[in-house]
Amino acid sequence: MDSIIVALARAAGLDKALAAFPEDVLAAAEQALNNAGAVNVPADPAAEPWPPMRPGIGLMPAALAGTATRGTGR
Amino acid sequence: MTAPFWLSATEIAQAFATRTLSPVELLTSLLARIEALDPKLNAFIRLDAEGAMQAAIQAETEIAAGRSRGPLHGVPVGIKDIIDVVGLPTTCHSKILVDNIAQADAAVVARLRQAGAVIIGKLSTHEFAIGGPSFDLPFPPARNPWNREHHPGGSSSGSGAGVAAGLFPLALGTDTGGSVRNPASACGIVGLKPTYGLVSRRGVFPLSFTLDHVGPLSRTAADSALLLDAIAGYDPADPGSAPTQARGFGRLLDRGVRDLRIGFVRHFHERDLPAHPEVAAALEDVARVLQAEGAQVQAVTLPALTEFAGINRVVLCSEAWSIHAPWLRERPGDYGDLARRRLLPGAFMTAGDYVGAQRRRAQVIAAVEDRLQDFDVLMCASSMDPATPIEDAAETARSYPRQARTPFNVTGHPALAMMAGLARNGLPVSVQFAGRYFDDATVLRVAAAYERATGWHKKKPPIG
Repeated sequence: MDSIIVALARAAGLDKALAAFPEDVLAAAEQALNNAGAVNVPADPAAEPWPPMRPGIGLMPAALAGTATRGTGR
Repeated sequence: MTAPFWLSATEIAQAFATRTLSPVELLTSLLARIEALDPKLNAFIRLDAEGAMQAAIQAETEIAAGRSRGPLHGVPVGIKDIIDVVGLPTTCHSKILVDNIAQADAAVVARLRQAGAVIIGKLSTHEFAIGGPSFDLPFPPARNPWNREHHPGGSSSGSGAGVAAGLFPLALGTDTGGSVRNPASACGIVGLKPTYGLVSRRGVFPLSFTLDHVGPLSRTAADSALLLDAIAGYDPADPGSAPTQARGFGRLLDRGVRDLRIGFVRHFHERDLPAHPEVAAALEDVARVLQAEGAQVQAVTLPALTEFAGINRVVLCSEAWSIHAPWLRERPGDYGDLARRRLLPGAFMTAGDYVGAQRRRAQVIAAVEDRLQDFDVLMCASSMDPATPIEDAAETARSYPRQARTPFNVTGHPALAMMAGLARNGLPVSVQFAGRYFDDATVLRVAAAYERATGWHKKKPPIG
């Protein structure tokens, strides 16, 4: 496997996956590269991301912000 | 007389009101059907017969006392197993969470209980709503009631299979890249991904925060409207919830489509991902039917499917990695092969990839919004192929990405998939309608008009 991919996988903490499922790790790295190439990132430097940057939950009082969690009961 | 298990929720409410059927009689009929058919379909991970019967008895008592809570009172609803139901496992169909017991109801389940619905159990899904159909998980995959050798779509696989087979009239699913609409397409029913933010996701195990939606599956458009009425609403505990008062999603169902402007996104299935000929023919027929009903149908161009798919993959993989990284690092072997392979790419995406995808996302949203200035509803393919054999992993891997559902996860517009005919092999083919933000009612209006004109919803799978 490409040493750069191995280094990236280790940096991501995937040592166990690298040992047990090296083919999956390699395929994931290759797919990630292909995915990034499939997006036409705007050339306009001022093009902002979605969702819009708006004052919202981060500026709410702490008591309200504390309820802003999705949870799953775990 | 229609067997109780084939009644729509709308018909059930009428039958309860006229005392020709009771909640306990209905549930008893459904439990018998589940006992007979679910071993063949695997729609359930956990059937809660006891809890459902208690709720049905309570509903029966309240209705008899004249205290009806509305049209879903006493109506059974199945819940996808990534949505919390207090006291029941939320396994996400995974070994990772096989012992996880929900400590509280998800917001949507709490709303259903308030409406008097009967929670009948937890339903099969693809592992963590991404890895499936799979045979290496703690529970078997759901199968398609039209042909059990074929997959039922996913990831809300048990929701689709169970509704189509008459195991329950309504179900909740979730949709991050099409996971409500895929089983609706494969199983010949109705699946609605509501407008982003219309339905709370609190208590739903996340896959991708900015793409996740909760939505109804049913056998008719009217039933999806009923279920949406019950679960929609602002929830301050869901950061993505919209402070909207949108309600009455069935208020336009009887209006027909006369003079509605419908944009037909032909290039999705003709150029971007050429569809199976029978799917393409069905879409042409849908356009003819809607025109005959009085709609103005014109071709419209959106960004290419590859654009939407690329954005969806980068955003989904990046956000899902941030959720699953601890388990992928420590317990990679506890995932099924498909989930592990679909989640790992997020480890290799950069912050720049993610932000770049979200910046492009804003542009494609603007493009779709621009087209919706000229059209009331968009019409396009959902799946490009009928469902493929469930044990043919290569064919499933080929056909699953051949779809036009992800555009509306990327944009957040409401989108509905429904049956548009049967292929020669007896499996359903489908169509998709999408609309303006918070105008889910018009999407349902078109679906109801198409349903009335064609009667496809009356076709039943050849099972039981």
